[in-house]
Amino acid sequence: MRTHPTLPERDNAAAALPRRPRRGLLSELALRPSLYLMVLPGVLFFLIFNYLPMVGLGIAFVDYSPIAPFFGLGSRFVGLENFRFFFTSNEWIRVTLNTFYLNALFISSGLIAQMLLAVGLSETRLQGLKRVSQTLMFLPNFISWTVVSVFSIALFSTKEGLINKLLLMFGGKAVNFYQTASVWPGLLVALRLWKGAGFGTVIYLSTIAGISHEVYEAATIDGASRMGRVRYVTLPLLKTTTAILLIMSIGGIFSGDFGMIYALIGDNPMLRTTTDVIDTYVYRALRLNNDYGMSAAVGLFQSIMGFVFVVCANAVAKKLDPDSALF
Amino acid sequence: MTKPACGLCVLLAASMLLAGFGGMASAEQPKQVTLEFLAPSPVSQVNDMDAVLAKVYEQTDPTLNVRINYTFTTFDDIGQKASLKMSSGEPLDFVFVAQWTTPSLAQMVSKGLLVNLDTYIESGEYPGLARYFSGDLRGNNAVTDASGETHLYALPFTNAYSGGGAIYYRKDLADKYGIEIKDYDSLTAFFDQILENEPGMAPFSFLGSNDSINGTITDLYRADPITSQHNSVMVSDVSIVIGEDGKAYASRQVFPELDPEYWSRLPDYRKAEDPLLSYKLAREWYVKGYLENDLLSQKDYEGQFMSGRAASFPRAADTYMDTVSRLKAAIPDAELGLFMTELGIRHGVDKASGSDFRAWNFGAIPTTSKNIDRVVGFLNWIFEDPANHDLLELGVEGKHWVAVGEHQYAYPEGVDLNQNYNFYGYVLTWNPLLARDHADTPAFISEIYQKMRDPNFYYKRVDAGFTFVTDAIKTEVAKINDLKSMKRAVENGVVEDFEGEMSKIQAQYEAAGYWIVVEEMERQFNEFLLANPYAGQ
Amino acid sequence: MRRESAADRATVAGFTLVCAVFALVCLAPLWVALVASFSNEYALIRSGYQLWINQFDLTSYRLIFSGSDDVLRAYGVTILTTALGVGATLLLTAMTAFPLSLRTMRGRGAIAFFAYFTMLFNGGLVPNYILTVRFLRLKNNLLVLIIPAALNAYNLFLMRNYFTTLPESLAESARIDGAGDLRIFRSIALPLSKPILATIGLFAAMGYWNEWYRALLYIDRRNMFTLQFLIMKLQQQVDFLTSSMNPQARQSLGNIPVPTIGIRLATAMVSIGPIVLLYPFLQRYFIGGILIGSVKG
Repeated sequence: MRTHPTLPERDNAAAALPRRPRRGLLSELALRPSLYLMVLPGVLFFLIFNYLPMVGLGIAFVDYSPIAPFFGLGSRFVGLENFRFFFTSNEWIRVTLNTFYLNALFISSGLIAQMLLAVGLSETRLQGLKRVSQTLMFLPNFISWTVVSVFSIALFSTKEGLINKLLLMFGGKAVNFYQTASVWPGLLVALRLWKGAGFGTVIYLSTIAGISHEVYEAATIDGASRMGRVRYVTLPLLKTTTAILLIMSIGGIFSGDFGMIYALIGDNPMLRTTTDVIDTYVYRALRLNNDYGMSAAVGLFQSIMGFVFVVCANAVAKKLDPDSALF
Repeated sequence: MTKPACGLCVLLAASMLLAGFGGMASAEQPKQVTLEFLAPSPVSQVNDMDAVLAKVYEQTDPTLNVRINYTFTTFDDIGQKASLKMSSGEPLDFVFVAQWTTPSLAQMVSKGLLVNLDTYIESGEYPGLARYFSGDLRGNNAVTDASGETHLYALPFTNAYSGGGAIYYRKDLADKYGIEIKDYDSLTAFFDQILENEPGMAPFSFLGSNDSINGTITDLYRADPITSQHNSVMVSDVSIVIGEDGKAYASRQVFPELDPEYWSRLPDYRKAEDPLLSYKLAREWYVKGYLENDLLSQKDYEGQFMSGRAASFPRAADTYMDTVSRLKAAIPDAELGLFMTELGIRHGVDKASGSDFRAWNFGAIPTTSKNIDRVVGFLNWIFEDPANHDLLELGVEGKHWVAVGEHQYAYPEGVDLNQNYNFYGYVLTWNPLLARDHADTPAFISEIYQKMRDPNFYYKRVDAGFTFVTDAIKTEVAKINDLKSMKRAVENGVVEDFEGEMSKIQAQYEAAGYWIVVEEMERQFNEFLLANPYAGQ
Repeated sequence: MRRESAADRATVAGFTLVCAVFALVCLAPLWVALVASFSNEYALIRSGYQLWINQFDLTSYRLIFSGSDDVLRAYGVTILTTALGVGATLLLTAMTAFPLSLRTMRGRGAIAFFAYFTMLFNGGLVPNYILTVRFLRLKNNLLVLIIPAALNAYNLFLMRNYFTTLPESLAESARIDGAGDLRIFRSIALPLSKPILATIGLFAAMGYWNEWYRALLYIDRRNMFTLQFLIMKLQQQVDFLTSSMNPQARQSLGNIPVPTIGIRLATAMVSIGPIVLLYPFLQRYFIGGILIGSVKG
């Protein structure tokens, strides 16, 4: 390898390529049929398992009946009626903002922690410790939120909770966690990091594992310190991975993590101001009179909002670095 | 099932098949069909079901010639699974429904998914159904359909007309402090002793993550059973009272006691009370420490009791036998006490406890079924003869159970309960007239059960038989359902300034369109009263 | 190689410490959960969580593993679907991702968008159910547990992202040697992609191992139930029993105190088990990089 080591080499390689003349898709197909044959099964898969059922999006506009023909779309058409319960409520702006805010916290803290831990692991030289600690970090991912909630009660309970016992021991005042809304965004972030950050490192670790040793060696020969290697070699190479993970999660930024919030907080009216998200709102509103059309309507709203944000994020990414864009 | 038993089944089935093809079938025997039954079950398989069904087929083959294929699913998914099966056209002939399934019984009826059973029962051809689904049970479990007519669309399966509201407590501790719990004062005295002498034990634990306790506390507080003038009721978050003119008034206030119009229509004994009584009592219990500090997130109140961290908890009396055995297993030297909160049962007074005679579990035939007549015929067979009913509910007599008198049963000597037939009657067979209790049930509990099964013991709640049709206002209903749990903090005494909180909640309800729901409720209820006038019960 | 400075050593020590501390934070609750899953439920509620078994009790595990025929068969089904599913996922994902990673392929943006769109919009349960049952006829068919989960956009993009970091010069030189796209995929791209294949394989294995929802929807026959579906059913039964008014129901579980917390903890332990066993075999692909230079001929 003769390229300059501190730069990701593919940039040079790409620059060295002669520009191909632009051809039409059909002639391209004829020239490299194997490529298109390779994507064909995947495309068909998406078509059958994802696009065909999308006719169901239309359920948001009907008064759904299970025995109506054509996937239920034959039910009575009601226009935007199913959207009314959400958009005429006092809550929709608050829960939408909460959803966005909490998810933004989760996504950003998650990516930073994952990156930090992955770099940390890759820099650790004690092989045994590295392996063991990485495996340990993995484990919380397998604990369901309901089990986490069992623990969180043991931690946060007013009288018996570990945290309050410690607070009292050090002369502090006990916090009534289950009646104090303001502490919960922080608690949720912490619990989520505990549960997911270790597992999330896998993606970064695999990216780091893909970095050639020679790049590091060359950097070391150039006199880069450990920190320098991290800053000038590892982190830049994690940029596209981060961008792609970020854009993909932005698509879901309007979908609240119902499983987590419902398990940890349940339907506690005193914590609503900070923890109520779109999905918990919809659950409460529709649990007694479950209406398929109405929940489909909110789902469609979440998808469209996510879509708008993703397209914007992707456009920004494309401008900054074409490799970081999703599509 | 053990291997030999399985072989026996195959033999039985084979011989029956042979008999069928051997020309022994009478001329009227119809072609055999398999009926698909879908029900929730706490176990993934019913032990020995094939043996019991083989016995059933012995009797039903000449006339019905059906095979029953039971699919068991979970409680959370039964409604969804049923409606998916209907929408995909999979065969489905009998399905479990309830108010609490999604979609609910009322929703299924309004979408035309269920067969109207009235026409069958009234035809006279199904005497078994007509006999056991009559009177209060039939009328009050009818559901209003899309055309505005009210019919029985699902068979109600219940063993009693109420669960029998009660508080279970640690009798050994009450004895230790020399307290006999018989009324509000002795109950709170017991709580005080617990607070004082039993560190780490809450006096009372309940499902605060879901329930409100102020109503129960107030019922306890009112010592005397009331046997008339039960003219108010709460339906779907709206409080209704029937005035002297026989017309319904629906409170404009979420906390109805704050609405003077509502208050003025209540009977005198209520008007003599402080309107905020129930909220003040709940607050008092919370402040004194009778209720748990973090009650709003309490999900496992029973675990608290069974582990000795709570001295009492509320639960229906019909679980007595079970609760006794669990407490014995958990804390061997503990003793269980039962204190009825339902005043009618506690004092043995008729017409002091109310019931809407509505079952908690139902079974229905989907309109998509191709075998409706056969299913109705099979259901009728179950109720044609108590022996048929017992066969399905308890299994083969002598093998799975033995009769003890007319209303009790016991297990035969040496039966392994883990392997015994364990069908759950609430999906097919439960009926107040046919219920049997285990022979070990103590006499005082049996007496309570007898009352719970006697329709004449209860007064008929004013909303019995009423269905609130929400199709036209489902937007508002959804918005209000969202606010429901806001009330819980007030109703459980957690909020100090509960009066301020109440007006805040009222404002939120009004903004969500509460009055639209209230007016619709009032209109529908008055329409209902025309056919079912209030009789002063 | 130059000598390590004090700053370098401090950097390494810092990173090591952060990882070790976080690992301990992750371990502590798990240890407590493991211990608690072997403790008596009521002793647990009474005296809270502790670092050692309070009152040894196997009820939770007994409940999970009772009806051993069912459990063994469910293990078989789960292992089979996981193995086939991981294979299908890797094949389909890599095949689709590779062409999309080539800058020279026309229409790659459009196909990527086509794939990403499925992450945002889905038609919901009903059309999926009707499609699977009525048109694909996959009810009570083990394929339903394997095929519909074999490809998703998330894995696809991770894989594509990894492929794009491979030096394109390798492919170019192979092409000059006369290798076609398929050859390059098979002989150059795949061998260099063990870390991402291990990652996606791990994700897929976890997904298939924990599958219960499709089993709930599409499998009615007991002999095709997956392990997690059996466990999930048991959990729901236990939840139901604690809120149930029905003493008969509890009898069926042998009239023992039903451990609501214990069941959840034991379940978590049972699902972690195989992954913990599998992981060390995969780990070498994540830790310690690959030598790209050696592949170059």
